[in-house]
Amino acid sequence: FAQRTRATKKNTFGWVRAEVMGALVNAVFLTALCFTILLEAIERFTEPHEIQQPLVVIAVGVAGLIINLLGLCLFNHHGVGGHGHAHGHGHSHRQQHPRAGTKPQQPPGDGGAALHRDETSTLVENCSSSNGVSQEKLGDMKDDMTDLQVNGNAGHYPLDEEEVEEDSSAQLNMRGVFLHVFGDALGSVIVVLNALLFYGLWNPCPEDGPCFNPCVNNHCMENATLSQTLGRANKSEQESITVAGPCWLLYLDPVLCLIMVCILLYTTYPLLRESALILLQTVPKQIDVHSLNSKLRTLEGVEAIHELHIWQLAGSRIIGTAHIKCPDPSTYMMVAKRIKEIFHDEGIHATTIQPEFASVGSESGRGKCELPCRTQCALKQCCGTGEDSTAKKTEKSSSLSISCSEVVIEFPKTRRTKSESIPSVKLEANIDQNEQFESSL
Amino acid sequence: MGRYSGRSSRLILMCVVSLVIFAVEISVAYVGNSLSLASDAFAVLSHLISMIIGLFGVRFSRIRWHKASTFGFSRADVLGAFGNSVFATALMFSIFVEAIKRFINPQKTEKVLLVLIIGISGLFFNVLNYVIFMDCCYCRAPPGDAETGDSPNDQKSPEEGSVKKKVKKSEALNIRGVLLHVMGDALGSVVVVVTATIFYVRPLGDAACNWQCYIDPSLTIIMVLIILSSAFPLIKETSTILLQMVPKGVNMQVLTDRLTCVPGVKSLHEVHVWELASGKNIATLHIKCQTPTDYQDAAYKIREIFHEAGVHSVTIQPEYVDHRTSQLLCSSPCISKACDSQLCCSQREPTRAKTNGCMQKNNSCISAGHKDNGSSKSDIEIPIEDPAAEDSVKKCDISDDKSQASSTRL
Repeated sequence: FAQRTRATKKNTFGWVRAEVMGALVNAVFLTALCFTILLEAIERFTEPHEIQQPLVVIAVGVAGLIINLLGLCLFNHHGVGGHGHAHGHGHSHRQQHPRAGTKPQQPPGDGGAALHRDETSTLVENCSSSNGVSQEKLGDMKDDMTDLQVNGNAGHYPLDEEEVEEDSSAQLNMRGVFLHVFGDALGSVIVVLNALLFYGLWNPCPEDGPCFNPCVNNHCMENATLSQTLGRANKSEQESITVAGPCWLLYLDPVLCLIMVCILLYTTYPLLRESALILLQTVPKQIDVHSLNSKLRTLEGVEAIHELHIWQLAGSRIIGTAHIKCPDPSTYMMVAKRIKEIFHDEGIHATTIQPEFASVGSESGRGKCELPCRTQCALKQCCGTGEDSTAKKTEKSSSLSISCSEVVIEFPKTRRTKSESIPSVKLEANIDQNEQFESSL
Repeated sequence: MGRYSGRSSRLILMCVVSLVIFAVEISVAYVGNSLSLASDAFAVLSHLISMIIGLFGVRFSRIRWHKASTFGFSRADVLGAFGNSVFATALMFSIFVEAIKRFINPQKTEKVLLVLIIGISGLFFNVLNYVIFMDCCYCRAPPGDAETGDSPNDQKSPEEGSVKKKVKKSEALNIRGVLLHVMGDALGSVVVVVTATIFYVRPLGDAACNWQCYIDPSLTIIMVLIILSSAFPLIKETSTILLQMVPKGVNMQVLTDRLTCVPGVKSLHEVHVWELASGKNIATLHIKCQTPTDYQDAAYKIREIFHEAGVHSVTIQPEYVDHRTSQLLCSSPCISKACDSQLCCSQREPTRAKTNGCMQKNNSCISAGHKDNGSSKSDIEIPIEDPAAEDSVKKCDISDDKSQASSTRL
């Protein structure tokens, strides 16, 4: 469902993020239940219980195990498309570019970066890799369509893109379900093991006749002493007093339970971590913002960059925004395509680039945004105190009359002094109007 | 970062106290076989976790930029509140299951006096926590941040009443989460005391369970329901933010209508508005315009419109059109169409693009602009073949129609 939804009134991104949320809820719920079971296990240590009717437990455990194994196979099969390609990632990603018909440049750092992934980031990798595989298919079919022009000619998209878009952001949640099923299977194994051992080795107290149960000493103390006195009283019948079977068996249950809880938590933790990182709008692990920033800065025609944001919507959809400061619109045309390519190479395909043209006379304002929200709405901006934003207390040009209440941001003193020397920001509305631009990006 | 005033040390103190209370309560609950005490212990635990998350969340959200996250960690307390609510829900669920088991298999509460004492002391500590918490985090004048308890003297401008409220609101989300749990604790302790008192006053001894044994699970279930009913709104609110939904105060319909009326904008697409954390809205959009001058003029007005809608971080990408390109599809989605599946919103699906349907001459905005819903089958189409509008609407040639296989129609 979440895959197929599109932008709606309530959610401009569609419901693509629902998978990540689902995975998080899954993981948190599982953690909470594990915690409950942990408490229960601790209680069992202090007050061990026998397993009543071990045969029934064995039967149910085996049935559960069979069902879980079936489920495991089912989900494993579904998820194998992603998992299987984890190692082929670097290879397939490099192949993408010639196929897609763009300039045949090798993404410089990508190959190396692709290989240094750890297990937990395979989710993102799987997405790109499975898309890489599918894009090879695409590339074959669209080889004759020229993709060199970046303006997407509203061309025909082949219909099998439908199935190609088995996007692996779904895999995040499917992996959550997979983990559940796996944990269940393991749990069933433990149940069966425990019950078998108990059945085989436990020497229960028979219902009739005196019985001494040395293991249970909290609540049954009175029973124990009673049977002890009985035993002492009838020494001749001492052989007939049965002693309830090896005590360590009673502790097997909680111990195995603890082991299982640990395993469950261990397998859940990567999922939890990854979905949390996505939801926190962090930069995906494989992207280095600093190097991206420097790559963009070194482009000619780019004077400065600010408000660079990269975040992951879900799965392989990474979104980037940036404000690029250029000297004038004509250079922007030339450089915009290169910018998009740089983003593309990093795997960021949905970008919004805002060009800003340096206003005449503000040479010192290299680093700051030419088009911030008009007055000091800084606290409500996403990044009010970014690296190169400034604080100005009262700068309201008369022509720009948006009323916004003033907010003072606390800045360290260095920033304050810097800000006072920067002239006010004005939107430069009268640049050269003679230039006509026919080309499109 | 370290401004350790009384607030965070109080929070830490409360955390330690809660931990101790939890340990004591859970052990007595097992000894005394009292379910309501166990549920109260769980409630204390989730309260504790929410305080810890609150502590870390507020700390984290002060980080503005980090190489791991270009937005800083201001979402941390939203995520923390969400995770905490889900955790509490799960714990309550397990208590619920236990209560059902007790209905089927009723058990008496033993060691009633001990349970009663612990229950009363739990109630006392909960009220104490509540008082401390209210005092330190809520009743003080709202500062710039929740943790350090700045006094109002630090604020410079007097006309900040509304801003103060909004700043307060942005931290209130996680503080609300904590508050929620505190209330639940108090309720839980009351339930424990009631149950234990009944058993104390009318002891059962070794007799079989009578009606008294059913009080414990019933009151527990009521308590679970109450706590869940206050956790769900918090879940709902935080998931609005986490799912990147349009923030509540923003009406996309109205907004896009106003945006298309901006002169110079021929059409717009890929309009996204979302909320980073409480109060911080972010928007991105692509506009198509004819010349850079158009863009510059339009950009200012667009920002103004967004500003009035409450969105203060806007990134506008201009795309310059010529006759060949379609009006509605993005001119620069990525460098090639092959990236389509990795775009945030697939380009080949009918987009929610809008054309500028404003009649320039009349200064009135007949929005003959046209948008497509995602579900192409049930398109709500505003028929644009309105002869009056057609002349003045700047539209692309109809010849572009045939190149668009999808239902993006002008």
